[in-house]
Amino acid sequence: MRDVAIVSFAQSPSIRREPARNDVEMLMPVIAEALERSKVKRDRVGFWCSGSTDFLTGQPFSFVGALDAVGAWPPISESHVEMDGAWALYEAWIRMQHENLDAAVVYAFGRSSLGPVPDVMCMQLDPYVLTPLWPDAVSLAALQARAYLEASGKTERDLAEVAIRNRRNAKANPNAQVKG
Amino acid sequence: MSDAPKEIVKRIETPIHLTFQFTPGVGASRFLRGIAEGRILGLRCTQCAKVYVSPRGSCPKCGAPTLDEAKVTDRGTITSFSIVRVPSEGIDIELPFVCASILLDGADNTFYHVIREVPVEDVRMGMRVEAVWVPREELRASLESIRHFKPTGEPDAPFDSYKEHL
Repeated sequence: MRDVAIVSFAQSPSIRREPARNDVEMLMPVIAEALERSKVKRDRVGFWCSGSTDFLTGQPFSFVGALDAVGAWPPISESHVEMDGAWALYEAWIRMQHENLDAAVVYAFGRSSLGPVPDVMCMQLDPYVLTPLWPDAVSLAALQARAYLEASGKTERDLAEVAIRNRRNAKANPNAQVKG
Repeated sequence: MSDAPKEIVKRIETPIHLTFQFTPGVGASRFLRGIAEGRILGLRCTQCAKVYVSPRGSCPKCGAPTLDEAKVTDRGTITSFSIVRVPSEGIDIELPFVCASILLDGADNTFYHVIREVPVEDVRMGMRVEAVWVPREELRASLESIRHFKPTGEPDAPFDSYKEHL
């Protein structure tokens, strides 16, 4: 195993809605900031990997458009995974184990404010028997919670305390949207 | 229960319908507002100075923002084209018509529009064309504010002037 470390990171402000900028315009300053902090020059980056899902954006192949934020000329080595930044980080880590590259940039993007999130989440269900029923994400979470309560003997109050604790902790997190 | 062999289900239909908002972005919005005023606006890369029409907010070569407005005319050169003879859903243009990649004067990338007011057989690479706008009062923030492009009658542009854009 080869040791891999995160040397810098940046993120866009966590806000409820972004009505003006598109994905590329949101990504550019974040990628630039992460690179700037790392002191790694663009041409030393051997691999670029993004994580996103088109169902959040409502646009097919939105990850191709997002490359406009990267500066892909002269040609770069890049890849995309259909999920999130953690999954993209994993692909970059794998590459660093196997290939002769020393620096990679991993980025992730997605705005859930553009579409009906509880319905969009249906798209990750089994497409034959579950998706056609359109169970929204909130209802599915409720079913899960009910199953958990029945199986564990815990109470609604126990679950509520988890929410209270998380919201209290979120007070100290400038990027948390729901807090207190 | 019947013992008769069951027919295998080979196909099911599960329609998906989701409604999304679309955000053109700051760059594209500036361009579209320009169109609503009857002018074509390019945006210049802050690093390599290339001018993009229609701008999407970044220079894909540099990964840098395109912030400064650049003067782009509504005249240009056809770099490539296709004669459309097959109807498509959502395209309400009399057939046949020409879809062309046009390099506008002052721009460093091409964009697509329809060529009319010329027999389709006469359209060629290098042909000089200009925008035909809708009447002033019908202008809005949409590329449909340009009805089509038509030949200017100028001599063809030399191949070298657009060979980088094929």
